[in-house]
Amino acid sequence: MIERIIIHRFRGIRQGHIDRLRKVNLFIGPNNSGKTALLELLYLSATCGRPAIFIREDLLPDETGTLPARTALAHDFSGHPPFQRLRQRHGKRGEWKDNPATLTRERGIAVRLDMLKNDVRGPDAPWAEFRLEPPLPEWGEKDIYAFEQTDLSQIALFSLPQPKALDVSMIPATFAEAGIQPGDADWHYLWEPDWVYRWNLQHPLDRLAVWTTHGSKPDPARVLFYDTIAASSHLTTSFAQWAYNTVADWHEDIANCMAQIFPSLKEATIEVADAPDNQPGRTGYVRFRGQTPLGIDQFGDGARQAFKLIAHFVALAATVDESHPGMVLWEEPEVFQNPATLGRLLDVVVHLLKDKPIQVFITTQSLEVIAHLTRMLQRDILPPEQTLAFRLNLRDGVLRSSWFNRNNLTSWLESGRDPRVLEDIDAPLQFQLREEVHEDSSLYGG
Amino acid sequence: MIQSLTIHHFRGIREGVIKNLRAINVLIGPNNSGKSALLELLYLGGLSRRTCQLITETIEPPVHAATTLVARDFLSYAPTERLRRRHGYAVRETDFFLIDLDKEQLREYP
Repeated sequence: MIERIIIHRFRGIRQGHIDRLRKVNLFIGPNNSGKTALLELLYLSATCGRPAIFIREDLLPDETGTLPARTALAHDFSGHPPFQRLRQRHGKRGEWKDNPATLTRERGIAVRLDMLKNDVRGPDAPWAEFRLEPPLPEWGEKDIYAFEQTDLSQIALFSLPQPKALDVSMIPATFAEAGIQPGDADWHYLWEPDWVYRWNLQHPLDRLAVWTTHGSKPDPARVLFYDTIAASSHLTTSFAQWAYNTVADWHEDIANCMAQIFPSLKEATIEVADAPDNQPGRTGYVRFRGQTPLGIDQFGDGARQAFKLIAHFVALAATVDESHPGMVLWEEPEVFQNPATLGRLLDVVVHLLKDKPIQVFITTQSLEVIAHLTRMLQRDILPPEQTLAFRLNLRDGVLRSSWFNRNNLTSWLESGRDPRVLEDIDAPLQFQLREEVHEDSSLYGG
Repeated sequence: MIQSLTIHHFRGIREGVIKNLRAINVLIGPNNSGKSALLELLYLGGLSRRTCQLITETIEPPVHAATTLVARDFLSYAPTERLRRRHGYAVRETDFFLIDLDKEQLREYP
């Protein structure tokens, strides 16, 4: 389980950290407070699971010049290439054509940081070049981790899992000041400029987004990012095929969940089959006895959203175990849902994920979501010791958070104040433990 | 201004009537209660501005004044293509019937 994240220059976040992450985490906060950025950062961290060897020729190999590394998987749980998906979310092409990377003779990737499109006002890159080489295959095995041409327009990130040591050129000053040791964390380096906080470039490392995650990561192949775009796209064929072959009673479980959320579907069966019009991907078809099946995309947006969500969540819940823990990143559960439906949807999802080794991160703007989850905490349906809500605040590029447990949330809601719209995080709130807030801000001197 | 609608077999609506529509109308209701269906119906109705003739072989009189969809909506999307995509369908070649808007002078921006 990821317990802590420290961030240097990722998207709108110049610096920041978030501590005390639990099994279930709820991110709330104003627009542009970094909720979605955190989900994306967690997504990139968790899908960074393809083994490689990080090599810097300018350092001694036995010290910090050669380290075990990871980079982005080719496909995430739902069958999408992670970087392609995130770039498209932000209105970009899925491929990064200007990646200053080439294939090496050993089928690795050589990245020229000094060839990054240079901002004249910024300092030079922190180091000129590095390579990610595939690990040597076992004798007789296929070289499955060798890089290919298509990887060059995708991969822009590597991580160093708990390195024994790190060269000083790789540690942002704020991390050193906070006393973070290399071996404490997984270190992530992202070199695509679109993802790096862009103002005020002062130090060479400011040209990269760098962050650490503390604690243990999920199985990279079991990371589900359910964003607001997923409802209107079809399931990928690779995911649907895998789920159908792997999950016993996948269709039946989906139908059961859907019937709990939408009582009118009680008598219906659900199948996942090819999308209409020979399109790539698959989608759901609802069949009532004696009638022709109806595509789920013909239903209202709420039902479509719920179906696609449930199809993924059922498959994830059925395929995690202690040695293959999962992660769910769920953006705005309230989208398209009537409050009554939303409550049932949350009930079904919590029931699916409860008691499973799955760490859950939810962003929301909805008071109904907060209130419903608080009620579940009060009834111990959600374990209070494993659940926290975080109110994020991003000001001048500094991400801060305050956290709220069952008691805080209860008094919050009972006080009749709307936790989402409080303007100033520094104002002492009656129910907030001051020393905790102080401790949370102490890393960067408050 | 559209004041009322009578609907027969549109998407999930077998039949229905909605009256008293005003300048500003807010549709609320549970999931699958027809909110988006009504929007789509109004969208199609509002874009049905291209004059044509409906020819019927069996009904007298055989020629009726009619309108059908314009090629592009305000945001320059093709209406049926847009709705079909919304519902997870591909766009078929038969959906395209391109009309030169300038010639037809149908694009009436306010």
